[in-house]
Amino acid sequence: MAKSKTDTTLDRRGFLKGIGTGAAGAATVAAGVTTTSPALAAESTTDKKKARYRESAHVKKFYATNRYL
Amino acid sequence: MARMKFLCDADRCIECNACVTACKNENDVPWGINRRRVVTINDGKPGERSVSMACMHCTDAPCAAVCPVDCFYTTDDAVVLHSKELCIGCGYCFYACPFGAPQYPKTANFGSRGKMDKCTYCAGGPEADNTKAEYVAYGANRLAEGKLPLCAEMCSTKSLLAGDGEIIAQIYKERVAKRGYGSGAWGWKTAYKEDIAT
Amino acid sequence: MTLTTSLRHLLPLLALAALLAGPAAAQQPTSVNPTASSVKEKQLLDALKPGSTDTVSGRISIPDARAGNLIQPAGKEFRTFRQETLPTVGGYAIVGMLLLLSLFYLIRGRIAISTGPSGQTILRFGSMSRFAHWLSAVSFIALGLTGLNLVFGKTLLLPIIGPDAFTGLTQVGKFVHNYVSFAFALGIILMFVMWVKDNVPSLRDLRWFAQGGGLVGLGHPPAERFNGGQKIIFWSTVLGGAALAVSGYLMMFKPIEIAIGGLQLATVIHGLVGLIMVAIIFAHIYIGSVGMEGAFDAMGKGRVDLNWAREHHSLWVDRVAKSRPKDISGGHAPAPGE
Repeated sequence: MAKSKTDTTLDRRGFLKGIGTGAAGAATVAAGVTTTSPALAAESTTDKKKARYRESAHVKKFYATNRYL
Repeated sequence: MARMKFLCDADRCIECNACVTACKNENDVPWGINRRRVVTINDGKPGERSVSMACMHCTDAPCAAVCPVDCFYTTDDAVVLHSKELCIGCGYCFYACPFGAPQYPKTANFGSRGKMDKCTYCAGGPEADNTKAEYVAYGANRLAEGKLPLCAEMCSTKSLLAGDGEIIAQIYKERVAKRGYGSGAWGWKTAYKEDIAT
Repeated sequence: MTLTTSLRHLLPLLALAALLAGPAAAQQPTSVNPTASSVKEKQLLDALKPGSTDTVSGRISIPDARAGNLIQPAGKEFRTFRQETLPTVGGYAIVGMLLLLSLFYLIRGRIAISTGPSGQTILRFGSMSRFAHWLSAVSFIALGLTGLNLVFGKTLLLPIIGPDAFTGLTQVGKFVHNYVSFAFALGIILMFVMWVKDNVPSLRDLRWFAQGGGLVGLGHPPAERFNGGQKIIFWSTVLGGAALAVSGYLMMFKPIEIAIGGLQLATVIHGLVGLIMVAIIFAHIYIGSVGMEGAFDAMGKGRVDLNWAREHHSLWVDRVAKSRPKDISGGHAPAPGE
């Protein structure tokens, strides 16, 4: 429950920030500059899409336990 | 490159709802939102089956197609994620999703939709991996830790499979061959436009 | 009492014993296939009527009843509608209307008052009428722009201003769309109440259309307070506005009884009616501003030139001259109370 409270505050801030970046974004369009959101720790477009999955020992064990042994 | 998929072996699912609980706990999913759920078809009738369903991380995802602000992206693992920074909570993805995956907290005006929340395949979101910001907005990023979605990892009957689509399809095929039956990979035709020949 | 309770405790134990003993007897491998009789996904999907909004659904143990929908293939049709049908229909309607109006302007030009302004004016719309009109008009423009943004913004605006600015804009647009809708609905209701008695379709409207309504042919067919064209605008605004309000509030307040199919249908109706109304209103704006001399005064000042009124609404002018001569004034008007 405490969690959902923080969520709404984050949401509200996000909304205000959205307006801010919206205006800032519109302003920079004229200058032809691409803006990145000043988000907390946003990943770049390529970074966020890169593969995370790897066949670690943990994952291998998952596959093994799901097979008939 | 491995293509992540979910597969629910409906012949094994006992509707214990532990996947639902595990998901809620692992990702600290807000009140009123269920990223995963178990649906029982033909309840109480002969041939009843339960299927654990969440976002299937579709090929050519309908949610991404209809999004008016283009907040979705598909990772190289073929996991469909979205940015809550960009989402406006319009609800179109819920209308288009064949599996009813997108969920909305009732935070906006008139109790209307807040920012959409859905299964992330335990792969976080567009914030840096395993940061607090990512956890608060999207939940755990187990994939970056070399793990798989918790719902599948802790499934008590090993009904729910996750991971490399080819490997879990192989596991399922082996199961069907060994035990002699299998009611098929639910949702695969819709999500991945392919089925498992058994 | 105690006997029955103890029996109840005993029964499961007996059943368990029977179960334990059971397998020994039925141990030989039988070719039992539990999936032979099991519910099949393909059969369930095939059983759904094509084009319907039925879903493959079952029982769910969490409180959210909607989560009982396992698969809803209608989402595919929704996607096709939103990505192809709606932008195509809307695009053709709006661009087509703009082309048509430009062409009309090039050929016909501005429709002038053929006898020239008289200097006398006649009261056409009181302050309440004008308030209702402009309330609806301003809110419709806000609703139209924010709505168009949802349909075309991703393709037209997003690449230009970037994702963050576009989201900010669209998020504000969503709030504007939700809140301003109330003003629009109020305006529509007011206009309906005030003007419905003058907008009942009549045979004269058919003759008005047959004679080109003074737009295509020469000369002006007689008309009452509202002519055939205005009645079309009135009814499309009232009926279209009602359809938009009903479908919109269904989406906004989401009464629990409305299943996902109903919400999809509401979105389809809302989108189509909205875009077609935008196209119709373009025509209305054109003829009320650049398209016709003297027309804007009706909603601007509320008083129009008497000659304009005689040309476009001859029967109405006659009626007003008889019943409320005070409404005609200025210039060399006869003294009031004549």
